[in-house]
Amino acid sequence: MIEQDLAKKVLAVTVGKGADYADLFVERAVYNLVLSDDRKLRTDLYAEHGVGIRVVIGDKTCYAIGDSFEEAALLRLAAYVRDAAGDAGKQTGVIDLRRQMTRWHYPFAIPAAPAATETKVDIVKRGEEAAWSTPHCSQATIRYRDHQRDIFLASTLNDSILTQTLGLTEFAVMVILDRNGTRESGILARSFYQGLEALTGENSPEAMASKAAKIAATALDARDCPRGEMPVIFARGENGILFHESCGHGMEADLVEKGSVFGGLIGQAVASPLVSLVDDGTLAGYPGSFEFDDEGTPSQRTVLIDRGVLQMYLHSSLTARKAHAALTGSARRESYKYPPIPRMRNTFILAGNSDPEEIIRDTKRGLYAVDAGGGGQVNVITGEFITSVKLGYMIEDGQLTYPVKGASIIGRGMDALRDIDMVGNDLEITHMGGRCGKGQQAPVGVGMPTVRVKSLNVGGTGDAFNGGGA
Amino acid sequence: MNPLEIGQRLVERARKLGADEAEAFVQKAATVQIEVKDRQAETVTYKDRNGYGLRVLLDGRMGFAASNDFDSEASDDLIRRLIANTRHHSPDEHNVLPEADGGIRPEVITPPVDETLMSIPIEKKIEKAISIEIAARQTDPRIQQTAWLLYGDESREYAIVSSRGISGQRRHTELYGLAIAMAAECGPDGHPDQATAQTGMCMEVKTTFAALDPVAIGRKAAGFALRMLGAEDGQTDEMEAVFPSETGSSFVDLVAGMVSAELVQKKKSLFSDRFGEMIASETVTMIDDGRLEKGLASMAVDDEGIPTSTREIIRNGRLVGLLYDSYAAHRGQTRSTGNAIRDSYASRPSIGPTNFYLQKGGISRDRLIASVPKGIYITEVSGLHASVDQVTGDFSIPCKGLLIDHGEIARPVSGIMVSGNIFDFFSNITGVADDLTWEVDENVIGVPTFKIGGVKISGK
Repeated sequence: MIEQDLAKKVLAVTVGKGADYADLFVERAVYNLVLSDDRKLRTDLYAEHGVGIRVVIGDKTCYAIGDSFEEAALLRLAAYVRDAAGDAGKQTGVIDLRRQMTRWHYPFAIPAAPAATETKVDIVKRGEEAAWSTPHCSQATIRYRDHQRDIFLASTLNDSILTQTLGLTEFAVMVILDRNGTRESGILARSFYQGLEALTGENSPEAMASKAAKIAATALDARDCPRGEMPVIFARGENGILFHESCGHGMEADLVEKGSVFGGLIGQAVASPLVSLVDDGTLAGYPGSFEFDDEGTPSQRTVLIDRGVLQMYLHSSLTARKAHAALTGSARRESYKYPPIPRMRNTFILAGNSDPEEIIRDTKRGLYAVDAGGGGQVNVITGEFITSVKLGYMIEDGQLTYPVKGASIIGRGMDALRDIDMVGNDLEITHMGGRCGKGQQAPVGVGMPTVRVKSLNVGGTGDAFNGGGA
Repeated sequence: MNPLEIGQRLVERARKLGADEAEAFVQKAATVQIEVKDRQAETVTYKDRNGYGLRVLLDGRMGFAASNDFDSEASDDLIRRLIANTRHHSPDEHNVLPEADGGIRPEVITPPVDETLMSIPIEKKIEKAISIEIAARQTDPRIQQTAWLLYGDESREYAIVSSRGISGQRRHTELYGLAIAMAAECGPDGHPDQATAQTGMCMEVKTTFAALDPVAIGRKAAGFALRMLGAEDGQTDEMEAVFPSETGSSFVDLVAGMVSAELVQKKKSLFSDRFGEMIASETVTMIDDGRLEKGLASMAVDDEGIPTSTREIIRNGRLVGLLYDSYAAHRGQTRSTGNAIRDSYASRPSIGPTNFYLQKGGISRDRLIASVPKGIYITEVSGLHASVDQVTGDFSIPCKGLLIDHGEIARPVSGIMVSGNIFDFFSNITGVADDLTWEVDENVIGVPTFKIGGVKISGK
């Protein structure tokens, strides 16, 4: 997209007044959508390109974006950012972009963005057919999305040029069932750092539509969830969003600086010794994976909690420099429009030793949370989090009994982590469909094995919960 | 070229390249965002947000594409791909591009535009952002830090042009200040004790630089954090609850999102099949007013170029109105209410509220609180949108509040959840105060303090 010599010229301007470091992020991207809504099919197309220039002096970052790749415009933008950042009064360094990095692994067997519209329309039509053939289906939305982002990054931080292609292939189904005037919805959404080959087998349009319909059908039979303090067992897989919200955010170094409850606790026990929490950007095909982060640091597997003890935070170059910590390969940007900030990638609890069925058998009364698909959010300073449980089952005498719906779970991240008393041996990491929002959107993966928390506050619309205990 | 000329060129090219009808939305915008920490600008971001969105109509099919590449070769290429894609769509007789409306309406008095915004030096803006932080910290020694402090502004110019005779452009400025203050009691070592930490958030949106009052923002955020210090876990109970504007607005916003005629027609709204029915108590009247004098969301025409209107949505508890764009209006055989909204140039217009508010009642806020023998004044709710079941209306959301004892505000409680059904919630509103306040998040929502009975609370 940009010649190396031009990148050198631009960076030379940016550090002209002695900036600590600077980078030039160039992107050309295309986004496709095929949507079936109310049995009507349509497409959207979005093409975007631009550059972002960042200059860092001390703790101050200046960032500006432009939409021209012309030399004169780039040099003007570079001077503008340099002047806004101020004068560090230091010697100008020599720009030497000697390292060339590029993707070593291309994860798209059938690249999605350039594929024919017919192919994508056919995928959506298959999902549409499957969803609408569900008994009692009264409405369905089937959404296919893909994007491809071609990226060029030149940075004085590591004297290198990085070129890589990122992209996602996404598929989501929402089915609403109406049985005698009672309506329930079921949603399933998946995203892949892969091409069209991902939408096969258990992730085929038909299989996903059928799973979404099954969630809605079970919800139709579900009772209101009781409310109060109770033991909660989280089913494996997507419920890992719980740890993303309640712990992961508080371990992003920029939020640690803002007063996160996990601040200053490295080396200390913050969770039950059964808990090890990992954030991994190197898992093939998962939505939070990439080869290099958006500052050019290789992606890595970062152990955040090892057997209950907090190990480290997720860093960008800016936070790592302040904290004298190592880079973790987790500085991400939604697009050229944003400077990089520390983000999670694929976040999950490692497998433990318990047989998942044994965890249920061992619970006298409580909630088995199947689908925390409603997402959640966290206040990183107080550690308070919420996650909603779309569907679950009540446990009576170690047995799953009737399905329940409409529950939310709140707690403090660290209390919940310490209250974990059983961890299953059945880790599953999911290709979660949603995005993580933190001022910028980022695709992430989550996962967990079956886990029991001794006691959590469950807010349901049903009666108050009496007694029980694990 | 200005946005209007660009729009005219794009519409012309789209027609030449095969579209039956075409409409362009063209935007040129400049934004600044400043994040402050410890009285220093930590991050300063400048963004141009220029681009266009193009809708084409082809045999009853409505295609959409967007780009920020104004180059004529690039836009021709995009239009060709758009037209090829559109041929795959399902035809829908309700897909229409609206015609220009020749009717004369009274002028809409919109809030002032700040013509100087772009030329105000960045130092002045940084200074304003820092004064928010100083104001928050000076409120009380227990305000140890501001976790988040942002100033942002946008100066925007946009045009809508269509082959059906729509043609116009508008200028617009908007500024915001946001503070999240953190309060904590000091521990025995003199350092703030994290375990007692509470946060308070305040965001103000204005249209001129002078109108944005940094001190008010800082103090309000600080006050919100301070009032929660010493909060203990609440008990499972059922009681009356009072919602001030900072928490009541998310419930009104939820209604604003659900009264989209398109969602109702597609049976995706909680209000599908409820038109004409009582959905709230008689004290509840809600109005969407796109022509409100100096309303933040006031505008003469919507993002399809249709004149905005004033619309009763709920009258004394009864659902009497919905919000329409031209698609839903055609489908419902009625006229658009001028509620087509675009998130940005890169998205299709869809139905959304303008200035949407719960009409004020006749008693003061203080008397409303005094009328509660045992209850809770809700100071914080989180994640309402994520928590409400979009089909059944069931919700349970974490809250914080101040207990009300014999009409007096007493101690703070946290760790509780309020659960129920959104219809029961509005049907149980027993009093609305006269202190209508405007809150801005995604939408512009007006809400007075109100109280509801029989709220289920789960806690310890």
